[in-house]
Amino acid sequence: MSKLRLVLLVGLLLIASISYASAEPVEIRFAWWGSVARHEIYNEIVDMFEAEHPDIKVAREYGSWADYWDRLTTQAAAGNQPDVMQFNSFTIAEYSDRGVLLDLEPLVEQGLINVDGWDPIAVDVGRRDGVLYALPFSFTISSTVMNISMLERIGVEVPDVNKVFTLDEFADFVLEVQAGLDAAGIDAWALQDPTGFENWFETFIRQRGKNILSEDEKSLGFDRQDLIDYFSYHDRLRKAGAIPPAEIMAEEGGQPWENSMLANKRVVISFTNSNQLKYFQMYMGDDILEVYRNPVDPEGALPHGEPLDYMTNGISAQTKHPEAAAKFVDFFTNNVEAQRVFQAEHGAPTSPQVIAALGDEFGRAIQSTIRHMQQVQATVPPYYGRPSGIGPIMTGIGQANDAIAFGAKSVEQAVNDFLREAERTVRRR
Amino acid sequence: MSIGLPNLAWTDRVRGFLRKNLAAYLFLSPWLVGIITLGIVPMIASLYLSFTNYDFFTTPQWVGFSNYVEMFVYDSRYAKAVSVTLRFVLVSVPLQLLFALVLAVMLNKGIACLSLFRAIYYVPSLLGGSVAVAILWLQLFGTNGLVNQVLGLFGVQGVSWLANPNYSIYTIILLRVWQFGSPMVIFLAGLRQIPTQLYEAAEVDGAGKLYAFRKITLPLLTPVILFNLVMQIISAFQEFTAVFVLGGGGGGPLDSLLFYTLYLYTVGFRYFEMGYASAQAWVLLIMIGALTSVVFFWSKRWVYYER
Repeated sequence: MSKLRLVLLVGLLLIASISYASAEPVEIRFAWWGSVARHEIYNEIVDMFEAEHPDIKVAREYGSWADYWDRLTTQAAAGNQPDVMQFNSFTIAEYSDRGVLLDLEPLVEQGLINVDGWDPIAVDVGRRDGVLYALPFSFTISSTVMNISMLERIGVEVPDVNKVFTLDEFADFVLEVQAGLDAAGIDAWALQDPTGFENWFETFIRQRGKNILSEDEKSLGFDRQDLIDYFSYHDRLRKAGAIPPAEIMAEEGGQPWENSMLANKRVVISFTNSNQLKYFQMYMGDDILEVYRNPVDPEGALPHGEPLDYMTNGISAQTKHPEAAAKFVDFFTNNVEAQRVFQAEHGAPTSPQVIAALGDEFGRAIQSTIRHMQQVQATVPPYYGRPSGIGPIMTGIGQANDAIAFGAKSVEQAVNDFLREAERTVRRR
Repeated sequence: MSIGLPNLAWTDRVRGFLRKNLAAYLFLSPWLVGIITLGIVPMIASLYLSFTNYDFFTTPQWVGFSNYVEMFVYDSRYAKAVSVTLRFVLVSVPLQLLFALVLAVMLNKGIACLSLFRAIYYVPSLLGGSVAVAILWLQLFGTNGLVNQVLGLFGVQGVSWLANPNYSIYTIILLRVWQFGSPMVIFLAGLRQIPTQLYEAAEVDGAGKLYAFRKITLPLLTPVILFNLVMQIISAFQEFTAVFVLGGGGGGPLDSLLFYTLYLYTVGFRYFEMGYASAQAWVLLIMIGALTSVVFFWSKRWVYYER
């Protein structure tokens, strides 16, 4: 009898303490990167979430891209990473491979995170080795952005939005644009040098059925000839004067949107991620930008190769409040009002409900981005992000291109040097 | 015990030591805690990590000297970083000291408003390491920057100094030389120490100004020159902010701005190779130590201490 009473008492106490704990507001930490304008958007979304969930407080940790990674790396090394943090597909493996992130599958099964009606690929890309480490909320893809107003001004026919250039056609088109610019006496180039743009390089080799690393991630996934073809293709356009020389690229190529080569009308065409379209458009004056697919190789192993770059929210493996974190991730991704504030900041939304609700009210640039994303999503094989430990390979592409563009090395030499360094990187992984 | 010390029990000795020194150590404790937890312990940890493969998140794996072998044998970017940094140190430090010395001597001539000028010339040293000045440099040395506009007035067609791999390092050297304030102030203090009667005596003997400078000022200033030289070598090796901003975080055109610290940072924080980065940090320490020792050794031949 007394034993039973004791059990009851303990049980009551437990219930009391649980209900007491749940009455206490829970605090989770959320981290992102961006500019001041983006911080305002994020803060507004977090405010909306807190208003809807008075029992959850969200501490915000934000900074620039570089600050974000410095801080996150240090925090994660100490097991003190934020409860919710953001990654793109190129950065997530560095963390998921190292046990920083929680498996979200149980939270999806509990219904805390809603993925009903999603394209299975959209969920699937958040997986690595079968574990769902992060929930994608936006897609963006390597794309070809053209200033179509400028094309009109120099009398070059504006391609249809569904036009997909082959590599050869694209080269001819670029040369035609350059001829038009020269004839009109405009001091500009047809194409901003895309060679060092990692996503374009990946698009190029993926179309040949290859990846940065081999299947077992123990060796390089591409070979010498791929590199020679890649660098030569661009070098020819550079030598023809349709791509700016190295010094111009070094000085102007890395500038922010408002001072970019597109905005300054220094180039007509630029390869960039499609979500960037709306920002470039802001600084174009009366000119209109349109987004096209990257050129393709008609003899490639695959019809297309763009890596579907996605933005995700991941939850810390160390979180004390997985449910609150999951609620936040779900709100951020699926809440129509939140996404209205978000304005496709990182590209086309992954949630079909969001696209259905907001698709028509987005501005022209965002609609172009979504249209482009849907074209791509239907035709590319899924992309599972970049493997960890290949940072030096990706930066090496830009360096090899610099060496060629500055005339310091021939294509052959640059490729040989690049391969030696890349193999070293793979060996050290 | 054969030696005539009182054979105290160790507890008594500890007690005696504490009675004598406890207060001192208590007062020192904030700094002791700081130097141990923020200085010595991390340094020992980094020495250990330099012999491991450590990616920040997983347990370090002992790899012996392989990080060091990697650095000296295989890593061509590392070699580039060393050569860029050495070139920077060897050019910028003498130039900066020369500039500081000339200005200090001029200011020491007893011009009006000395403290005002001293403050003005010191300002760059305060600003020089900041991001804002690095951005100013971007504006000055771009293709359409102020420098080229001035050159244009003389009909010279300038290049983009920062984007050209042959010139970019000189813009950083210039930035460094421009921060001559702190060695200048030290030179000024050194100049003030030189007794004026020496100059008076020299004048009486008919020595010219230049002769007096060579035979009196320079020799008596050599300890200060040595001090400045050592300090500036050490800090020049650690140059980071300017190249980080001016090179866009990547090492600039053709890695011409790939300074040692920048590469170390990239390896550690961008490529997650903390063990390798730690090894690089230790080699940097050894390099700075070696160069400083060379300077000290060499200084025996030219530094003159007044007795």
